[in-house]
Amino acid sequence: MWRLAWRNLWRSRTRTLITGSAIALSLALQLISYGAADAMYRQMVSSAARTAGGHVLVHAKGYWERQTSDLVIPDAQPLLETIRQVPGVRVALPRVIVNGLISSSRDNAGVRLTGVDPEQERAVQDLSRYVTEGTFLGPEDPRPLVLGKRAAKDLGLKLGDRVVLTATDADGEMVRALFHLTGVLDTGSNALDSAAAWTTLDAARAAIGLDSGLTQIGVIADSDSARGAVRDRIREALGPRASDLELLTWDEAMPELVGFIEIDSSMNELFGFVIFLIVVFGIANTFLMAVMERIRELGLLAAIGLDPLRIAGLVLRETLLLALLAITVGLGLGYAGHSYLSIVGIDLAAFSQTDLEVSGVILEDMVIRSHLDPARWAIACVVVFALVLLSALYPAWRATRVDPVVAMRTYA
Amino acid sequence: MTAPATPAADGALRPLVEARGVTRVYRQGEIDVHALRGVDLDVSDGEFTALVGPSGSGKSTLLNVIGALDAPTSGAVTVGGHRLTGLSRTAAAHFRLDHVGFVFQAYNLLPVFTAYENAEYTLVLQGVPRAERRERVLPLLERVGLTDMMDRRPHELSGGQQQRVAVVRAIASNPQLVLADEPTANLDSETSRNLLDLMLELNREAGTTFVFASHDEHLMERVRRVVHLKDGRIDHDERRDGM
Repeated sequence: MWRLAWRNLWRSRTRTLITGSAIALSLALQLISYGAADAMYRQMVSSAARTAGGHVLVHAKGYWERQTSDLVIPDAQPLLETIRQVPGVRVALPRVIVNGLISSSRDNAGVRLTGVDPEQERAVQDLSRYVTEGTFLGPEDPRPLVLGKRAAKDLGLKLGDRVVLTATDADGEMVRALFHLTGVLDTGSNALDSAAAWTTLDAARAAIGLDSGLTQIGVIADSDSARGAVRDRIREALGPRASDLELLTWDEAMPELVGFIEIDSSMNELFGFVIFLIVVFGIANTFLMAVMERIRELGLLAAIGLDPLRIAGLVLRETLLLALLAITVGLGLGYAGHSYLSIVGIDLAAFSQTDLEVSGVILEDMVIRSHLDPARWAIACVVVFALVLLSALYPAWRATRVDPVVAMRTYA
Repeated sequence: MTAPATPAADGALRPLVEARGVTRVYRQGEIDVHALRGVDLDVSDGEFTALVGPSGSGKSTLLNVIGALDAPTSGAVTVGGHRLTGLSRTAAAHFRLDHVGFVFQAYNLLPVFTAYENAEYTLVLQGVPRAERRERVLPLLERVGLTDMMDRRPHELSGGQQQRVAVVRAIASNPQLVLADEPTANLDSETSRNLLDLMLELNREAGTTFVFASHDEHLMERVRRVVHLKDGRIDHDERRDGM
């Protein structure tokens, strides 16, 4: 039966090649789009972890929701040391975050001021590469301030200008602190360039009267996929002190990006499914034609003793062989496309004047390469295989309805 | 050798084919066509018999009913002890595979198979192992003079050669009964005679029962019994002893 099925497949070589090509090309294009999309998602995830401040964020309980200066981690140094010893933690970064108003002689603007250790912070992201004027928190000024270019422009500030920060301190009292503009950044992110500011850890602590406390400890894990496990290990290592803290993974802190990736991925799947469905209808028609052209022969097979189930099995065998062949070719083409994209990539900068920003996350590398997810590719192949077989069900059923006497008499 | 006639409960030999009161009515548009009108027919083991009659007499229909290719509207048909009435399509297919060989007017070979593969196909469907298939089919192909042609596909064979392949396919599985519907209609005289001689030899040597539906005068010269049909009924039954 397999021999008959295989030879029947090649009776109309052109039709088989066209049908097989439709399946193979549809699959290949879908796999290539998966590869590009998965690569972009991975870059987004990587950027998101950096934008959020780390794979795991440690705050005083309730901080992430309220974002007020009175919610601090007191006596944070022992905690920092403990966290740094937890397996899976690559680096733990101390930060002081102040939401306030900065004023120039011209105007005011709301900012989120982050006090960092610039050397340690480089482990997460090297903001110094975005500097267009001045430096990123050099040692020359005890109260340095780095602003995004949009904020600097709106406030009419130049390097060396005095800037006053108005905020609430750790006791909830209004305070003012003086800074000097020592650097201007152009990150490409509207959110950062208009509302973010950076200073040193010591300068931020001094501004709000914080001695040894921190607002945030940003943890970089060995891998993004281990972030949940690392968070749990940190909680365990901190013991009773963990009850006063909140430990968030970056996706818990930035659910909007996670939602975007899920929606985009689902839309991609849906689009691919619709494409295949259209292909399947076309294939079903082709299979039906192939059956109707062989009515007489099917009648003969029934006459010499092939029962209806075996006749259906013959049609399905032909379909199965075609599906296997086409999927193999499609996989090969998809892999070739993936390999090409892995090396050459798609440069999104060619399509956009600005950096790509999604849900506040900047894609730092605008060249999208390809990432092969074996499980996703395997599922795609299985779905295509099932859809192709599905398309043959009606033709197979139709073949079983052939009356041998009528077929051989009428279709001579 | 074919299976002997089925012994009845009283020990007497029963005919291989028993048809009683067989009718067959087709619906053609608004009209009912009575192809068979109460046919009674017995065919014994080893017969070489022709069903003859003008077009529309019902000979092909009777042949199809005997071969479980078609179901009677009423009446009973038994072949080799197997009751054919009320069979499902699957059961009828299995019966044909195991008990009946067919030779049709058009050669009805599978175009993607070689002559050998066509000849052995009923054995393949029966699940006969490859070695045994070769043992059974090769001598038959040699017998019909097609050893040198067995790797050719049907479009590379003449009409007579194709029909010989069809005959080998029909008998390779040692069926109880071979039904041939106008097997020589598309052949020239010499080829027809040769083919019929072959089938007569197989009938005499192996005792295979052959029932033909045909007008062929060459066949009439060779059969031992001629059943004349007219308007769906048996008009008269002519036995020719000594042939």
